[in-house]
Amino acid sequence: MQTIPADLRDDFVRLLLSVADDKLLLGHRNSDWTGLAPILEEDIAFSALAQDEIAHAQALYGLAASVSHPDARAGADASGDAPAADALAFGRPAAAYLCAAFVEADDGFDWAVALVRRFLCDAFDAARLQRLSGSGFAPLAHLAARLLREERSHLEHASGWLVRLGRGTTESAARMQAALDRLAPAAMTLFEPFDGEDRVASAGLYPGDRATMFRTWRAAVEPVLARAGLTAAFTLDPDPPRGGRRGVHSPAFSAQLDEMCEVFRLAPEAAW
Amino acid sequence: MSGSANEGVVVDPMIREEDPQRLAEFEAKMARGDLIEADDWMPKAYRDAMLRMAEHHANSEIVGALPEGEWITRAPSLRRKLALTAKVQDEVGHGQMLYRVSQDLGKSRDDMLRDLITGKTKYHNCFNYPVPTWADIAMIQWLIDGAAIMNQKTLADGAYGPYVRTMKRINMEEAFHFRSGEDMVLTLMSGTPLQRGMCQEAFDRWWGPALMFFGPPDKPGAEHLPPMRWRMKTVKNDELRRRFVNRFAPAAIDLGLRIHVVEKDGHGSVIAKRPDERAVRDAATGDWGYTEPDWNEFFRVIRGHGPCNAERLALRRFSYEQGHWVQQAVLGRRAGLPPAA
Amino acid sequence: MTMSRIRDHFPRTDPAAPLASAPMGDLDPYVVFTQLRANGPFLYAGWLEAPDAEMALLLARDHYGRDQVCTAVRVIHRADLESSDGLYTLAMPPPDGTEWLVATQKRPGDIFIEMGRVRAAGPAAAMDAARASVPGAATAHVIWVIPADRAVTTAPDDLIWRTTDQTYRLARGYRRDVREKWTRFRDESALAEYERDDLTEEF
Ligand SMILES: [Fe+2]
Ligand SMILES: [Fe+2]
Repeated sequence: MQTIPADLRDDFVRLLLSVADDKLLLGHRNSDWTGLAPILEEDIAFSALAQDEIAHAQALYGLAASVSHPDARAGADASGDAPAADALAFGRPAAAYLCAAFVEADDGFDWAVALVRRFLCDAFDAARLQRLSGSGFAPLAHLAARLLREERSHLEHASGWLVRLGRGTTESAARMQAALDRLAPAAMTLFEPFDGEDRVASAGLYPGDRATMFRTWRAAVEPVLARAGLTAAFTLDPDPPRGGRRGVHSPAFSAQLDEMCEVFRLAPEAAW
Repeated sequence: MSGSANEGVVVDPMIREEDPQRLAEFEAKMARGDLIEADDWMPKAYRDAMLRMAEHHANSEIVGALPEGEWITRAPSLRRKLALTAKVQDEVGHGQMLYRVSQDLGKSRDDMLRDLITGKTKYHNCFNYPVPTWADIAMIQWLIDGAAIMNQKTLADGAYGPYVRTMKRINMEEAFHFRSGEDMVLTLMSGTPLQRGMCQEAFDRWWGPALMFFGPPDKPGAEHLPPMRWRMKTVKNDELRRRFVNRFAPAAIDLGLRIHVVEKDGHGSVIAKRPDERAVRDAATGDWGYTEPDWNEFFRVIRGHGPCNAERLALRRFSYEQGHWVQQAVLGRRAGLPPAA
Repeated sequence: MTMSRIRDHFPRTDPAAPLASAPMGDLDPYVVFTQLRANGPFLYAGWLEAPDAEMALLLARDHYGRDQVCTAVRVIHRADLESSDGLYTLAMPPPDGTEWLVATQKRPGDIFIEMGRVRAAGPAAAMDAARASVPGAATAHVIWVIPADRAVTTAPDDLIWRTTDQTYRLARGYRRDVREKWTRFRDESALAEYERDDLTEEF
């Protein structure tokens, strides 16, 4: 499929935005560690991964822009049209963002929290990109397959640290377990469906379903946790409350958005 | 952005205690332009001074990541957000590589980081100034990274092999910092009145620190003193400053920026300014003039009383203390592994 | 003006108080080589510190592997390096007949480049074998030999250079735009004068 049927367009754009918004917010929070993360080498690498997330978001916003305005530009390659991608990244009201609550939260400047969140998100993103790489919309399938390779290397990185710190000192094990205890319930918000998810799924644009993706995610996460000596219980809420995926965000999210868009909003039409 | 290592260069007179034969060979190598490697014989004074210089430079990279890091969360476009993150990340990488050079001269990285955050060692002065707007990011990357490149190009002609190699690789990354800075300044000066105004104000804040970047005026006979004789430094401070002004003053004026002599308060905010009447080209020499920056302010900031010294050290200290458990958890892992077959 | 939330809210300690943590040692040093094109030589890139070789490789990929397009990354623990100038000595000699990687520094100040492999019993013999059979080794300023099975290298299908647009972190990603914008403000001769101070080598 090379074009999206008009009656599915809004649902499909929501799919793209939910992925891009997750990546933007995770990249946003993690990039703030640049210059401050533990061990200079890890500081550099952690920042590289944050850049990947933002670059992925940029590509997905580009695709979303070209799908919402199919006449604006021929083709749907994701690298072009920076202003349209920026307008999506910085120019929407809070309720139009479809990221999960999990990526919005402050990490409290606790690197164990930042790392465990990254690990759980990388595993989720890998599962989601795997699903997207089978999309009937070819430009998305190709992009997802490309990003999936990067996502897997992120997961390798996060897993490497998880295992070493989970099995490091008593202190590091306790810090990692505490971070996991704090994050495990909130991680389930990643699986909240966006409006129209079932429709794009059954149209083959987002093949598969939540329950299968949850199993795939657990199968990726649990062996690493076991190797790290960490424990967590995950349960998928069959009917989760309306949250980030459906535009319902915490007040803290608006404040975060105000910060992220502070300069952009000074002159939204201008080049910066 | 990077540190000028100039302030780190101090050589004490202990060279008199060295074996005269070896010292003479060393001086001859220096005069020939040979490179020194980490295991070559060198006077203790040279080793100590080289360590101080590389450590000071490394410290400057690590602290230099902080002022710009403040704006990563607020960069106004995805490309700028990516670029600023990558730029700050590069500076951390420079610090990492320069700490390695220092470690091979005999001090552990952990000790260097601890000495930095407890104020035992110093970093470059210009990172003690505030970065109140996005335009300051543009100005830092244009003027301060621009100054750093001019300085580091000459440091790459130095004599200490490991430092020279590191400087060459660092300079290859600095090219991106400078281009990105130019691009931001050009974009702002092509933009709305608000953007141009932001840019002028940022220029007023950074022109002085950029002039100070190369260090205070040279002592008479600097070329015969060890730092230059031993090619730890290859060009004098005032000469670097002259080249910098000749490059940047006319460029700023052509961009529509006005060069001011400014007065700042204790927080680094500009409270008064007047046009710098010396900022004109001397027809006879071809050199651009400038008003000397406030060297009293320079020495005040070095002594720890700049607008942001406390803030920078507090954040660096927090970073070290909060991350301590991570390094602690993975220390000595390899030593604990069974020997390879 | 508000600072980024994290940087605004980090907990502060009394700057006069001694550090809460005790000094600790450094992690182990690894030297990093990068290969810029498939089947090309491995070039010295720099050093880093890591808990172990596996982490060293992951960290090297995300630092030295991202400076320029790069097809493979290799890390070697400093204790696995024997240097002809005595700077590094091999900590644990491998069994006789091991294969050794040979890297040479042609002139002082040059970077090390991996030039070949030899089989030999012990580092001294490997050094001799290198001088006899590896191109350029006989006249090189310094030779490094490394037991080949101690070097840790990325797999052929490992992704190092990213697939997304990376021009944001490269000087060439800005050059054309910057030049075009300058011409709106400055004439060619002023610009040429200004550009004389540009760096000539860049990523
Ligand atoms: Fe820089
Ligand atoms: Fe730098």
